[in-house]
Amino acid sequence: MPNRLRSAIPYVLLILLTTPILVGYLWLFISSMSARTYGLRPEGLTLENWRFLVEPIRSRPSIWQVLLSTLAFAIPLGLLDVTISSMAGYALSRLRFPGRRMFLSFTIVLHAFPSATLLIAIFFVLRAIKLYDSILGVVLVSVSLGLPLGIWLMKGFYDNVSWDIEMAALIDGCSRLRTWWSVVLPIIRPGLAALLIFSFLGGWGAYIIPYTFLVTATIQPISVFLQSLTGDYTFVNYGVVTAVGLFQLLPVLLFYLFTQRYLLNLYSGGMKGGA
Amino acid sequence: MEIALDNLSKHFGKVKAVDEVSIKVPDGEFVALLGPSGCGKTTLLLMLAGIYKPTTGTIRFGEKVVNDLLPKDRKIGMVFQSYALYPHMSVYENIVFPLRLQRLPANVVRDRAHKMAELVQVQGLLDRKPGQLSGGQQQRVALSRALIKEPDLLLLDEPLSNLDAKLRIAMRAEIKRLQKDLGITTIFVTHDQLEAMTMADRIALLNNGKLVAYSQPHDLYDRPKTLFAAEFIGSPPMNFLRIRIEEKDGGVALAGEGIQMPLAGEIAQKVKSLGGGREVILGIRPEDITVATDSGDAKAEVYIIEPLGRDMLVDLHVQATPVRVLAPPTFNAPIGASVALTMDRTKIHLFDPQTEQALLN
Ligand SMILES: Nc1ncnc2c1ncn2[C@@H]1O[C@H](COP(=O)(O)OP(=O)(O)OP(=O)(O)O)[C@@H](O)[C@H]1O
Ligand SMILES: [Mg+2]
Repeated sequence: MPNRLRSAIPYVLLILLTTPILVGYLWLFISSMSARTYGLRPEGLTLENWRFLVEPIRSRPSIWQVLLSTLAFAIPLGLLDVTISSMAGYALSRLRFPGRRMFLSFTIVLHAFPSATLLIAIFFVLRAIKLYDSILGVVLVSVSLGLPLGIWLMKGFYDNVSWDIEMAALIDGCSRLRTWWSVVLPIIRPGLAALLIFSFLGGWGAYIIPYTFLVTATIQPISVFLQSLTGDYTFVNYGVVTAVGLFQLLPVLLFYLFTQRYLLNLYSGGMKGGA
Repeated sequence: MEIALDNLSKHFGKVKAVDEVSIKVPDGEFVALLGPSGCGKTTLLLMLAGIYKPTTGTIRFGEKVVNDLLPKDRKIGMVFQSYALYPHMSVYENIVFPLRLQRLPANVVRDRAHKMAELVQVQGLLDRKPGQLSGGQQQRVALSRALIKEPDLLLLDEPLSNLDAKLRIAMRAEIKRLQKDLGITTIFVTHDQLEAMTMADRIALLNNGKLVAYSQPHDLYDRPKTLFAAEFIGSPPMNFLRIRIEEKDGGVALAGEGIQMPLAGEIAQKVKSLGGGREVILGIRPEDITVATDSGDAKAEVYIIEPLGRDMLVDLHVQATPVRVLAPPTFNAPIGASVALTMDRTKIHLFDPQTEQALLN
């Protein structure tokens, strides 16, 4: 078989497999621009569906308010997740302390634990500490649910940093903390970037947690906003729903386009973690 | 700075990585820690660096016991086997990192960095990242990073083992010159006995975490105190033959399978005092045996001839025991020829087969 043909096979397979997804995106795009659609065939091209950009939909908060709330949720979520994971991961990778093994196994168990089963318990906790219906509350909840994966990934990155480099830094005059900060952290920067992006995007698309613990419409993130559009009692305007959906999706796609190099690190550099 | 180790041990669980080692390193000397893989060399070095805490024993720098001193307060420089350069920093930043940590003024840092770069010849590489350097260049950078803070003690962990043979010989000389010029007390880890012999003022020979010898290279070579030292030092290695001390008609001889080696004079007295009939191990280096066609101390058969350029390395069999001899380039007996070996009486070593201790010195 000619080489040309052989190297084409994976592409053909990939194209076949991704076609349904691409068709989905295409429909989303077409539908947001038209009054009605018949399958993929649009009828009545219009920008009417995008009116929400300039004027709030009925009694709902403006999309820009929603965007702000989403960022106020996703950015602290990403930063906190990275900060705590990078510290805990270091300790688990490098230090020997009682309970380390148990902590490690717990991390894995918790990662696999379905968080939805915790919702009611978390509700009581949040109400008790007066953080129900506040962005801080959902940030804290989401960070703690994201930590097991984050810690595990960071530990994997640290495991790949040679001890020699750390010893060299100690001998060159660093304290342990300074070694971590000036030598080890910069080396695992790709991992930090990947986790930050991963976690931020997780917050951007988060639904269950914010939906459950935020009731005030002005502080709800975009996915909850989107859901509220389909949950109307009156009638569902799918043109608007797709437009808002696309509005939520576009930054994510762009983000992936420009940061996939870092995200791929999560699967190559990390993951190698062992006990 | 004088370094003194006193009954120093390091245990990892049941493993005694370093076992009761006592050594004194005089100020300005170059000491090699020599031994086979896994004998505890790196562990010993890391205790000196302050990375590992000794299980028992003391480390003294000058008069001061430093067991509990942090690495950063020990005034040491170290080159790792892996070089351990900081991959995210340029060569320049790597070299000045120790000075940055001391918060020295910027102009002092720059001056010292450039002087050091010149000394170690890495001037042209300062803007590169470690990943863009060859092994030899990385090694130089690691050396300058270790030297730039003008340490009292320089620790080198197999710094040459990743280099090719030619570069290794060049760096051997260069490191030795640097050490002598700067007068820094240096401890150098290697498992290459030739490196230790050529570079060190003293060699500490380790085996299984224990110190088996600590003396000057020629001393270690000429008068090994144990079978292990005799085996480990020298290339090609010393030959060993099982023999018996025989007393006959008032004379003394060493006899074994195919060996009959009469002794006379001082050496005969010494051997006689060990006791007739005793089984011992005879050790003799390849360069201390001569091959002749007529008669000698042992009959042997030529097995392989390896020309080394200046000499011929001849592998022979004395009965079943292999013996290697360094012969002059004029050696021309064919493979399979029967020859006779004569051993230099002043260069023989005898070892007790049980205790493995040397019996003659
Ligand atoms: N951190 C550690 N934990 C447990 N055992 C260790 C540790 N470091 C070293 N050892 C053990 O101690 C012994 C000595 O190790 P060390 O690294 O000092 O040997 P070495 O002489 O430097 O060997 P090489 O020439 O291969 O570098 C080995 O048996 C090793 O397995
Ligand atoms: Mg070692």
